[in-house]
Amino acid sequence: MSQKKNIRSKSVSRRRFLQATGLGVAASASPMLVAGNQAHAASVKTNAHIVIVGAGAAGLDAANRLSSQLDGAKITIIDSRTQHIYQPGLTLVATGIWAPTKVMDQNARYMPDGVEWVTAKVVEFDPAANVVVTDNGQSIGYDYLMVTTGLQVNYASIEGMSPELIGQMGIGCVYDNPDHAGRTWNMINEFTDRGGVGVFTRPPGPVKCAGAPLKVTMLTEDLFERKGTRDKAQLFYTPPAKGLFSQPDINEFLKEELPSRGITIQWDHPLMGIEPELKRATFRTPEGPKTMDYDFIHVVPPMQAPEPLANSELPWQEGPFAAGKWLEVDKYTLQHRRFGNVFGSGDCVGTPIGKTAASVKAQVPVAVANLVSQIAGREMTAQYNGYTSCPLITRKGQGILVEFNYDLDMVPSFPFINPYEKHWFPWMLKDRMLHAAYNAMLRGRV
Amino acid sequence: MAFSLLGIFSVLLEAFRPLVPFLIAWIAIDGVLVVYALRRNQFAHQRARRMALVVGMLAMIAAFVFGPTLTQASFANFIALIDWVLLAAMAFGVGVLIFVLTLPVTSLLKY
Repeated sequence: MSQKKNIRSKSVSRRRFLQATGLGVAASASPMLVAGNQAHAASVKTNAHIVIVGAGAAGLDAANRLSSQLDGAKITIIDSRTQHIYQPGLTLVATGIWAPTKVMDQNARYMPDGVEWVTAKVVEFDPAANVVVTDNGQSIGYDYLMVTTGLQVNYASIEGMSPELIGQMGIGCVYDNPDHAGRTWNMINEFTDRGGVGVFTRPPGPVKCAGAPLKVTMLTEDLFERKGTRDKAQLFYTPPAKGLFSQPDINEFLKEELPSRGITIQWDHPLMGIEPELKRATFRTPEGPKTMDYDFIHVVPPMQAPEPLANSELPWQEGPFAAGKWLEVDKYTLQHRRFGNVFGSGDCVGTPIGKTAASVKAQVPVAVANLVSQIAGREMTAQYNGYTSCPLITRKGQGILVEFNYDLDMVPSFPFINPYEKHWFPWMLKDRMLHAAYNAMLRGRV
Repeated sequence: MAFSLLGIFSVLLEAFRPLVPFLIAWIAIDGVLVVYALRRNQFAHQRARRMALVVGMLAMIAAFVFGPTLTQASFANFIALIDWVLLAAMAFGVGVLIFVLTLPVTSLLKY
């Protein structure tokens, strides 16, 4: 409790206090209007050919923004996937709150008019020659490239793990698609009926929506409570190091929240492998390999840039993002650091934070604005400040709304909501509004 | 994260997209009824306002009572005062909307 008070007193600065008052509301309204005007600058005339690789959230948003901000450009988007998945909803599918169909959509609904959609998969990037090659052998040249490939979940890096195991023998994994999330729900539903030992893992390195493993853990605990079977279960959360969340205040919040709900934190426990038949997991701890028997395990494998991107000249060659082969971009301009006509946004970029849909919302306008500036021969002035957001759902009906930037400063969009207290409002946003905001983002409107 | 006014409208449009045809039809019918009531010089007369107010208030109460359920939550999840204030504000908004949409209909009632 005292820790909570400390957190709160640290956070409630004079500026935030003023923002919470009427004066603050008026003051915070003006940048909103300014931001809106920036997004609708006059069209730039060009005959440049822009290729966007990937039609996920970032790719579709970029396609819509580029098509409205450029006049005469040829825009090509390359992706073989016709289905669009609302990935921020997968945690709710995996915990039985949403049906899988609720997160399934079609890319065609968001594809802007006049944009050429090549339904193929890029298998090779050749940035020196300004060419990408597709899996059907087509070489597509470009003047500018927007890389929005998303990322790849490395199931094989966990010994004994494969995606086929999800939904069997007590194995769940919320990531990748609604099928995995639906099968994970089957396991969690059984587990919360029967009880036993539940292990919730988190890999080292950047992962898509780093809050998802925590949400699955807390929503599972909540389900036990709602079913009245909590006393039948022992729950363990196994972070790979000595932190739960990159934002320090939220890290402190979680260090209190999980133990208060009887969830034991096993620090320094990156998952090495599983033995599905034995329901046994092995962790690489500082004291050496350690095994744990489980009845349910939520496996979160390490993640990296997709193979074609990883195998090209585009990833970081050294530094903290080289291991995951993330796209080497300037963290502010989102322009490639070695190939000036290449930009990136979304999960594939190597920036210190930002693998969420909220990051996409903040990144794409910057990447597009800078690409358009370069075409127009203007100075690139747009900067991504690292904004990311996570409605951290603590139980069904409650959550905290976490928003922060590169400096790990909390930057709440709603100054009247205390980001360190559990509320219904963030839950309501997650359940009712954020999907709508996401769809509006895909259309390039927010 | 900043939203422009157009952005906020776009989000609301996406949130209520399945209801948009219904709302457009209702607004169109309301428009016809307003013109009809104005021609007969009986738009928004006292009884009409009172009836629309009652309907609006019922809608507001219903929105307040069932709001949490519509989000798969319950009043037990309301810990902070701000949740109650926001729910009340949302319910008020629903009440005003229903009042406005109902007024043209109740205007057809006799004085």
